[in-house]
Amino acid sequence: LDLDGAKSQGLVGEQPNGYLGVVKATPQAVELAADINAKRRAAYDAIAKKNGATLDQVAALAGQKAIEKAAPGAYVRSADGQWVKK
Amino acid sequence: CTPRVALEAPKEPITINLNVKIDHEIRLKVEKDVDKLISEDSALF
Amino acid sequence: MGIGSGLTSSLHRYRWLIVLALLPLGLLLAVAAAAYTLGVRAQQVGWQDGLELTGWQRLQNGCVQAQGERLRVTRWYPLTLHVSRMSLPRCATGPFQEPAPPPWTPPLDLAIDALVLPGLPPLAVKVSQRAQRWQAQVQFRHSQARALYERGSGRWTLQGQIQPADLSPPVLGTLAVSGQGVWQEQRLEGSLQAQGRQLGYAGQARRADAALSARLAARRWQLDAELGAPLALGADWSLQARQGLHASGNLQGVQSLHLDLLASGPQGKVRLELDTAGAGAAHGPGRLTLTGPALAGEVPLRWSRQQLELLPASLRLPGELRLSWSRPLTVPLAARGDSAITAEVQYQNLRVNTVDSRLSWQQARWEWQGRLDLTGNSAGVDLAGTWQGRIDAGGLSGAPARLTLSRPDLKLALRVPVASLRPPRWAAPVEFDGHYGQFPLQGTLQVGYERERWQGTLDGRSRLPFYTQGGELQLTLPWHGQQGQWFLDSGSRVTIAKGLIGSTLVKPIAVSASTPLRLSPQGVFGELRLQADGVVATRGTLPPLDGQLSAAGMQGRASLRIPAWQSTLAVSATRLAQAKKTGVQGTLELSSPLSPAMSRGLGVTLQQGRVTGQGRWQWLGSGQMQGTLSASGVALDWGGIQATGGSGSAHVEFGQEGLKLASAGPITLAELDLGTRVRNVRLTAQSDLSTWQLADVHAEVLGGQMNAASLQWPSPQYQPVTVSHIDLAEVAALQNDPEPTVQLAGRVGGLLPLQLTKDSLALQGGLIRNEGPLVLKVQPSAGVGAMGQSNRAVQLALDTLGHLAINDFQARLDMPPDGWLDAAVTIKGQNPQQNGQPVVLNYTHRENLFELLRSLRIGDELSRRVLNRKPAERSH
Repeated sequence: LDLDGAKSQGLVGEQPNGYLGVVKATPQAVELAADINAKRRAAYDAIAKKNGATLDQVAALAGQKAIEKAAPGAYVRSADGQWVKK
Repeated sequence: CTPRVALEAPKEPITINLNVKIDHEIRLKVEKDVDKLISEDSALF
Repeated sequence: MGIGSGLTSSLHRYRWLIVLALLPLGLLLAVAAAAYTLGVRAQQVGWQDGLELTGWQRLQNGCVQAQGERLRVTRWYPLTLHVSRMSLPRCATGPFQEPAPPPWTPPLDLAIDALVLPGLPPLAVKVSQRAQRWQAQVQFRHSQARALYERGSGRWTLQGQIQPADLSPPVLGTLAVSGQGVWQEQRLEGSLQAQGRQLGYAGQARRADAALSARLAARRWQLDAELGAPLALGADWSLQARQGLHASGNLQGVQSLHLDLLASGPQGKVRLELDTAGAGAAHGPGRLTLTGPALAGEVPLRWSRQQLELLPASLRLPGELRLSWSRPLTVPLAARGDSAITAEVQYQNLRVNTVDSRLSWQQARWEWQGRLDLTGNSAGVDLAGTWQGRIDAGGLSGAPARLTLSRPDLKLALRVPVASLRPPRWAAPVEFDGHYGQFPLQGTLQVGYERERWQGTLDGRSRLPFYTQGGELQLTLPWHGQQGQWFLDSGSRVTIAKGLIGSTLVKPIAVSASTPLRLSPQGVFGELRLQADGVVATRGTLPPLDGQLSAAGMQGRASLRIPAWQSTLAVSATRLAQAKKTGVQGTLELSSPLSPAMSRGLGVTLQQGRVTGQGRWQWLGSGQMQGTLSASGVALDWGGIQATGGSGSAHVEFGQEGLKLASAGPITLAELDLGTRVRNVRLTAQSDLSTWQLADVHAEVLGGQMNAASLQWPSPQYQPVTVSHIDLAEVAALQNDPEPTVQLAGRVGGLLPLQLTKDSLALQGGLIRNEGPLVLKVQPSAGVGAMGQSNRAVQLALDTLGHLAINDFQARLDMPPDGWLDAAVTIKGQNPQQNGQPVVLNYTHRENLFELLRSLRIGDELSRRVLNRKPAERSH
């Protein structure tokens, strides 16, 4: 199961906090999200250290952009926490 | 009376107004890095 | 006519030869004819050193009176027969008839190796007859008997010595039997005496003599028996005959009976009385009474010639069992019979009722068949069960027994195949299916009795209800029970399969017994091992965890470890009984290094440090915990912001109102690098994790100090923070400019009202003043200098500001949450190079403090600062 497959099957979706969220919990989806989020965190940490920003600031910025770039029909989490389809 | 040349401390203070505004253009750099991350690393986004 | 005549002439010549040849044939035919008339049928007739019939029967008016194997005629005169095995199944069809005396027979000898009589072991019998005088000799181990019968006069006599031990080893003593009488056609008479000497039971000292006499005349018989002293029956029971046994009757059956027997033993006494309704009435009342510590009850009886009737009664038996039946039980008094038995057995408040149950027997073989229904409850559990099948000496057979256990939170259907319920193992694979609370339960409980103990294995399956997916529970519990103590053998194992709780993946967990676990009313005793493969959540993972658990009834201890993080947790627990409620309380001790691996789910990365904690916890309906948590050598970062040298400890309380934290002693942080270094932070804190009350806050920053008596975060209020001894040189250094245009010296201090909200910092009405004289020097950088040439006023200003001794410095500071700092500074001083020219400098500074600090954190020249100034004016 790769990221695009998981997104197209509606298993996972982008969240404002910059991390991948699980829409429909399956063992593979959870393990994929955990793996991807760990790598995203490391990337955000590097950018934060390089730019003197905090990890959460970079993550929030990435989250906002990832939601903007999400494909139509993909799941994204709205501000009030609901999963909605773009 | 003889004119005395004396270098007195001038009583009248000089008033200087100085306004300084400092800009940093760091903000844009973070966004650039984040955009690069999102667009290039397709495995993560 | 030729042939015919030829034949007869040859016949004459060999006549003696033919006669000789025909003789055995003739004899054979004679015997066959005689046998046939005697009703003897044979499956196979052969010749082997004498006539041999393998498998023969003697029929008398259609009923098999005797049958046997290998009957051989070994000599013809006197006729000598040898039978290897013979049995006399009774033809119980018609009423009892007097056996006919033996007819005339030529002298004969008959030897039977094994005569099988119902209820008796095979007997060796020798019968011989000479001049119509019959003699029979019966032998079995040490017991033997001899009978004589003189056909002429019809007189018979009988002598015998019987050792009861030959029939049933524990019975002691000897029985001497003698008798005589007349046996003719339609007339059988005589009398029989039996003397029992020193009768007893192995292992019991008691011995008793007994006497029995029986007479038969004119088709009427009489029987009397006496018991000299109580007769030992085994298992410490003994039998007394109050007035002895008197019975009489005719060929059809018993006509009068008088009996009063009393058996007494450890459990109590059982008395059997039978009497006759009137002389020769052939029926009568009786009573079976049970008295004593473990026995009670009375059974009215009615006997008649053909049957014994037990009228409805209720008996209390040992082990609090109660046996009762509401309809009379009739038991035919015959070697082969069948009787309907409706009875109920009660134990505490469990009842077993028989339905369509029949007891049938033939001589020693008995068999019960029917249905048993169980109802009632025990220990708060309602039980309902049924079983349809047969029981005989070999064990049970029939359909599996079914039992349902139910309680508000429990519903379990059990199925017990009975095929294997046989002595001595009484093994059964009990299958169960149902639920306990929200836990589904299926599986098999193997039960068996082996090596003097009950043992088996429980293989169960269930599912943890709070798992949204997966989480199947598998139990493999080998168990055994000895002297009332129950154990789960070491190796017993409970595994929880991988599953999802919401969107958290919990990997397999296994708990196994490393020692046998003793199960007792006070709880479980033994050692267990825990192995959990970890938890994966979307934002972080918990690596594998293992632990040792030891249970000691009311107490228990667990030491858990996460090897990947080298974290350890030790928990002790003791069962608590307070007022009505029961709960658990105990201690816990935590020790763990801090590492980035732990911080995957957090916005902060824990670089290093060590956390230890110990506390007491309690669970009494709800959870409670008090303890202290200490951290030392902590280094962490929020991406660009680093903090090192953190330590401190706090009292932690967790209860129904949530978590409460209170620092014990100051919490210190050696350095917090925001871009400018804040050192020796010290504060005390109280928090419920959503609001923090800080007090005695102290930190060293920009060469000076920052103090606040108390601060609350988050709070919309502007809370005063005092700063003092701030070194302006360090403030100037914030320009991060290799050749700084402004140089400052001297100390300032003041009051900064700060607003600390959840994710923002703001300043309103801050006032900073000089603490003593300050010095300001402005060296115009190349760019600024160039501007000065072109504008005299600027040049004048720059010259004036070249060096300024300041005696009055006031700065008003405001900063909204976006970080844009507005400073309005009024400086009064004089320029010593212009012989004390007094100068008033009104300086406003606008800069985004957060971006300034962030650029300092980067230490990256690229973010040059652009001096964007309004044109300087000069006024007198």
